[in-house]
Amino acid sequence: MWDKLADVENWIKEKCIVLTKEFGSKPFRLEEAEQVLKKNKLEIENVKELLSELRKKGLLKVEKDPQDFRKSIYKLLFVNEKVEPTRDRLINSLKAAADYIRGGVDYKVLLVFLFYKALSDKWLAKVNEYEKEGFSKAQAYILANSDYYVLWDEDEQKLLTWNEVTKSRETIIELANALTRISRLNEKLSDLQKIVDVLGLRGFINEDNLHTIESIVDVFNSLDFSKIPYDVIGDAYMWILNYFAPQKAKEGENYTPEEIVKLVVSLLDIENGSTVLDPALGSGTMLIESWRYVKEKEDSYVQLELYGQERNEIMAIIAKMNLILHDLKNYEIFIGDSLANPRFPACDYVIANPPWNQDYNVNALKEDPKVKKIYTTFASDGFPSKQSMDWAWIQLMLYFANKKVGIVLDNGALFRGGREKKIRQEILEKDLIEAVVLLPEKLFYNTGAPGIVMVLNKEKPAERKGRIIFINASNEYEKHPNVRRLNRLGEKHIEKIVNVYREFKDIEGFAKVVSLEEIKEKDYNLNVSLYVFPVIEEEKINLAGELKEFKEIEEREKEAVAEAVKYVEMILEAGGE
Amino acid sequence: MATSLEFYKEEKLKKVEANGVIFEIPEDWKTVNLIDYANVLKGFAFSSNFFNEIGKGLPIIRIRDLGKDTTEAYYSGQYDPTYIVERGDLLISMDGEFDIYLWKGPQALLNQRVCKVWSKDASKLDNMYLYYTLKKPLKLIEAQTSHTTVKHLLDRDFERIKIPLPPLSEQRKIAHVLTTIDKAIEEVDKAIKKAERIKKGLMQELLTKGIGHKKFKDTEIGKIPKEWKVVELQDITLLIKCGPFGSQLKRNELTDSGIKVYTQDNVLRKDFYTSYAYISPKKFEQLKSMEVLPGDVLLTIRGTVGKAAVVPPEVDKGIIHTNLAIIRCDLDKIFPSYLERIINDSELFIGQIKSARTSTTLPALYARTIKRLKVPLPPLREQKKIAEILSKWDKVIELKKAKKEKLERMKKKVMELLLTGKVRVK
Repeated sequence: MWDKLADVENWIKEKCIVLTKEFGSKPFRLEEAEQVLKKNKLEIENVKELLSELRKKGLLKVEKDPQDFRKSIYKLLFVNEKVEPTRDRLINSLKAAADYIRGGVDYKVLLVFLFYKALSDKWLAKVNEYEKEGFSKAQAYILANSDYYVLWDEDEQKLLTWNEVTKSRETIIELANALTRISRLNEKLSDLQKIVDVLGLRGFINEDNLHTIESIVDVFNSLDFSKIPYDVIGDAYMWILNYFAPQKAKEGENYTPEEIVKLVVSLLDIENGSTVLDPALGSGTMLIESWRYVKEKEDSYVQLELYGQERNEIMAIIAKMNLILHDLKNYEIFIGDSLANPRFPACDYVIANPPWNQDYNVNALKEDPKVKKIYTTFASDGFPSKQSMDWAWIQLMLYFANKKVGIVLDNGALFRGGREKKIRQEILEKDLIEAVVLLPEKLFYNTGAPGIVMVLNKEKPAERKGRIIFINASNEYEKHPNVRRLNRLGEKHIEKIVNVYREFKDIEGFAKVVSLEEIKEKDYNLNVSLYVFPVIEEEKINLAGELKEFKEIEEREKEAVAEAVKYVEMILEAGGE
Repeated sequence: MATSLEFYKEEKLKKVEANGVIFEIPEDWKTVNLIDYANVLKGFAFSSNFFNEIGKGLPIIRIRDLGKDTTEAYYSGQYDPTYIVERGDLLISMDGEFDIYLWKGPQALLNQRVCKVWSKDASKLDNMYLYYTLKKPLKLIEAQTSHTTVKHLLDRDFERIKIPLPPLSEQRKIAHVLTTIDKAIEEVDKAIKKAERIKKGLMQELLTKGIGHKKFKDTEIGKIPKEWKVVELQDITLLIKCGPFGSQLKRNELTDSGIKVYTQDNVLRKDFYTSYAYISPKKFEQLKSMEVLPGDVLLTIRGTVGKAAVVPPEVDKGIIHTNLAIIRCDLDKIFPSYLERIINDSELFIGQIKSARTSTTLPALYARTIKRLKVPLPPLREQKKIAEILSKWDKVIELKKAKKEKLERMKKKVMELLLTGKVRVK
């Protein structure tokens, strides 16, 4: 029903929700509606007006009261619609839930709820299937447990599904306990416990906040996830991440905009059957996008091994949930600092958007000889200064890549001096860099500065040896449809960039293939603008036309000013000063 | 109507009190309550759910749109036609600053906090007279309103407003005189805008094609006349020097008096007389290499990058601040005024600056980059002519702006005289 309400003004929305809770699809009279609103402290002067608005929007049916023709009987129309939510409907519902959250609780609660409900619905669907085949309820529970995840607690003889736990006010308070129990019973979900603790779910679900929680629970209750395909659920999960990204960015949680991830994955052209690694995993979007990319390309069975490492434990769990909700099974997530303690194997493709200009204790990289090797393989002394680890990440990713590296960095990484310059020089001379793309400004949530994408290739084809393509995409953007201050890469922009990279040819004002010699001449400076910059489209002014118009205006101006001046003179004569 | 108007000074005045002040009006004028003669319609609180900026639905007027001829937002929902406003309607802003505007845009909806006012009976109160006479009362109320953050115009404020009411024919004549002056101001404004476009077109023409050339050639900075050369800045200048770096001139070494330190502000506003930063004579000796001479072209190199101004003759002794660079022209090769034009206005040059600045968070230009910037160079004679033509148009624009300002000031005084009847019209 939430999508129907999306269109409706806020003052109507909140009252409608209250009426829905009270009456559902049962008929009611004007006085009853007035009483309910009063009870919920939402009384208004003209309830009839409210009902009239609802009727206009097609949300309410009005009939004459058979017992008293002067009066009407009302009935809400949308309540029992258990429609298979489409992606849009799902997102509208999440928007409503997001509204309730505002300021009160961490947005990750939405992620957990989505995860929990989706899992529960799918589990219940499995139970139904088995029951249809003739098994008893108890048997079906056990079979679903082994097929999917464990949501029937055999020891306590308790159902841990969402429906069971949220069925009444009293049981909702038990939500945190239920999630904890689920995490104990499922090895794959053991991290759930950590999230519950960190989010303070236990403390949050108490008498005071029950109202908000109930509202959010209502939203999720209206969605039947058993029928929603995994990638739509996954989409919804990512939508929540995307939606809260702008404000989260202010708090330091950095989330890479979807379009940039698409760009990196497309540039690398990830192949089916390969291994992909993201050593700065975050919420896992790069791995998921890699999988999506291959699925779209192949349209057949996707075989990818995904690896990721993330130093923030909570983000790693969020990433795991993300992967589970996309129904991905072939992955391994590590927790830890990738730079000093990489726990992953070498992979075909390594992609990341690492933290920019990270402050770091570089000595940590020199202790373990195995780790030290990473930073002395591509450069004789690959330890950067402590202000920025950008080139440390590049070396780490090169070290673990079999084929290609795609990295998103701050523009400054292309031309900083000092230690970085030496490292950059050596890597350049090893001819490992294939492309540098300058992105438009205002793409990222936490900085207005332009970023860059660098592609490194360990298997450069002959015609690309000794050369790098510079792509100035600073004008390739459209306004962000939801966040006023931001821009974003459109589909056609991504296509344009990927195409010119594939063709490896010059396009004036956009792309230029440059030899290593020229880069050497420019002192190993990789600043894209040095090599190619967009042609400034200035409006061409037709001088003759403008002059003609100017003369006409001059004539009119002369007349108008003369008239005005005459009046002032007359006024002065009459004695005004 | 124009020449048939007569003006005369009114001798028979009476004192009246209105809108919190006491003033004089002619004896045969009345003072009346606004709401007895005019209607006020407050805008509607349209739901922002239906606001959009893509042109869907009707334009909707908010306070920020007053004084313009378009609206920022459109409203795609259902509306009561009572709130439709037409071109020429009188609108008042009710938050922040209280002022009355003539709506110059198309048919639109009236949003909350903006109201429409109009005469109840045109045979008693002329609408245009109403427009002019309401300005002062609104400003008086604004001044008298206390506020926490933003001032709000309330219903009871409207009830308080009194306006002087001359006989109808005089109302009409007063309105006519003021409208005539407004029209003149508008035309001058149009002329200014047109002149600015012509100047822009001239710059595009002259700085890339020169005067009277028929043959052109392709160069690394673009197409230029065959006779012109492309040179690097270091080839045509005697000195290129950036301002002192952090440690060379520390914040605490700046004083309130002494030798001037010219900053980015001086260049951007082309005003070399105001100054807010100084250094001691001793410090000046230390930084003597950064001394500014008349005729030097100063270039902004940090933050707002790539703007230039020529130092006029007879300026006070001084040095440049860290966000400027001195470019001293070789007068046998290039005129400072011409270089200033190229830096500020030539497409062939601006593009280089854009790509040369290292933009991370704060853009900056460094000396070695500036030295190698490429300049399209006409012969000295032609440089002079180009600079002259452009400066003539600059003068035209300057004069017209001064004219507009004068008209506005005169209008203010005329309003005062006519709207209080100190000078009358028949």
